[in-house]
Amino acid sequence: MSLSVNGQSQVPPGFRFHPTEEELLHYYLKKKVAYEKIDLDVIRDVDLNKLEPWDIQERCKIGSTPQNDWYFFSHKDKKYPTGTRTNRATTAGFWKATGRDKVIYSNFKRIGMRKTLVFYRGRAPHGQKSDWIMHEYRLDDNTADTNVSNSIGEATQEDGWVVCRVFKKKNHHKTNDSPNNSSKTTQMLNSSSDGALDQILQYMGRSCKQESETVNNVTNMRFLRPNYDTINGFMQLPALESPTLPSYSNECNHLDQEMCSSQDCYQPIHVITDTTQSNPGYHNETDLNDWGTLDRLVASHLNVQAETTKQLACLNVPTLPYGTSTQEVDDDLHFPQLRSSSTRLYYTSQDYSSEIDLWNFTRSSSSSSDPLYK
Amino acid sequence: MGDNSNAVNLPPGFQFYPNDEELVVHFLHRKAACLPIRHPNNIPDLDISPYDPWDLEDKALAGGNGWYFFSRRVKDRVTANGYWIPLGEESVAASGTSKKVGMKKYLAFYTGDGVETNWIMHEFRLLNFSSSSSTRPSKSRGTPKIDPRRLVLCRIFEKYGGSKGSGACNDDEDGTELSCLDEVFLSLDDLDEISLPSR
Repeated sequence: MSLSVNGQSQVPPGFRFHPTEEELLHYYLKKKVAYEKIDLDVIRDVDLNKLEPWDIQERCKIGSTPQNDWYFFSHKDKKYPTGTRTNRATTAGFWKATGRDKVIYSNFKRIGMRKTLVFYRGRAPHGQKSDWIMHEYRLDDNTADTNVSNSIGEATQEDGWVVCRVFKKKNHHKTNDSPNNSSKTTQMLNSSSDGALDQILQYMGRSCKQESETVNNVTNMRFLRPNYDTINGFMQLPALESPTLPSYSNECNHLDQEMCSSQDCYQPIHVITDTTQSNPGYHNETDLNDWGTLDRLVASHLNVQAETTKQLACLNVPTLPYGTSTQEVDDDLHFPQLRSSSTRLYYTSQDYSSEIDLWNFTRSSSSSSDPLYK
Repeated sequence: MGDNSNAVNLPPGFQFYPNDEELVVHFLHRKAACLPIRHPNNIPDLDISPYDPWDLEDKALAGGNGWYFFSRRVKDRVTANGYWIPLGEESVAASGTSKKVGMKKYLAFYTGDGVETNWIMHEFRLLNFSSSSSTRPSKSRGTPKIDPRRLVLCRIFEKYGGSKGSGACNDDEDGTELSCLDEVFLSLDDLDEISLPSR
């Protein structure tokens, strides 16, 4: 039976296809690689090279209900016969991997990996980043812990089938697309100003859209605060009860732990500044190069925010510190190295601690926003 | 929770996850008009039974984002161990091309001693339900008459915390959102964007 019979959808109203990562891997992808039939053909095969992200919604529609995410199987196509790189270019652009792959567990067992990709319009390396995100799931390739993932079998690592989830990023912050495109702060302000209760409840626990502007500003500012004189600046950001930031203390005293698991509550780039700095392994060849670019980036973030943020009074950090380290480098000369080094940055062990800190931080900082739900 | 997909032979990954409009149009309106409801037709009618929200497990229909049941509008929703208090104004839950069809009310659950809980209720009601379509079939079939103006459809869920099973709208770990770390990486990618043109 397929998804629609005689034009009528087999999916009754009110039902969403919203599989867990475990279901995607353990049910759907496993069946796919084993050539088993899947009911309703919910997840279709797609040739990723021939399908633009904006056509995916029509192609991968399930039922008549509105969808926020779309699913398909894709067979990975190698870019070069000898290599392992995958060709993910379409006519209009290409999918580019970002970050590092995430391990997917089921009952404490590794069952697969998730790769996050972003769609860029145009051709590498001049593509323009879009809001289309793809999570590409593959079954575990049996690397380190063979005894753990025996059940998955060896055949799967040869087979190039992956199952993908495509969605459009919410709360985008395209600071670099144009100088006037204001930062996320403004967008969040906008979204919170039309804060109907409906919206708040709807997104509650799913995103931070409902955050009040105060909290947003607090969040951003704390990340903007440079801390160049410490080894790991990020981890030593001013504590919540910092005397220099008296306005925060009220906010933070009644934080409650489990508000929303926030996604977008900060300007993440500044974290990386600290990561870079704190990792001694990169001091030799990349540190200086990174600094110049990061400085400019940070400064541009700050400028945008300075223009758009009403509560500058809270911002007790002058722009001055951002210029301090630029004199050391002639940054324009080193961009090729910078490109490669920024990729390698992902794999540093520091990332992990940053990640944990981010979570802790955003969890606690994103709470107090809504007086109704303390 | 909410694996009622078996009832309609849907493969794994489907959940009863109706949006407001679907609730009003496909369920509330059809119930009021005594029209057959497509799957799931097992949203129970709890009438005005004052169940505490944590007691709904065996009584209400479990969806991906809350418990669902029909009920009646009452002035005070008092249960054995607490009461529901309306939050703010009603909002339009579903509107046709020109007119509003349904309204949505928000309520929070307080325990008897006045402590606010994380339990939230969305109460949907029909607006301007035309009695012409409702009274006739219900009379002719002899089904117990439901006053469509009092009929409501409730969605109850627990805001945060607790087990994932009981929490509604809590699916950020399913990968439809970017994690904080993903956002960091995305911004890192911007470094490339900046550095290239100046090369």
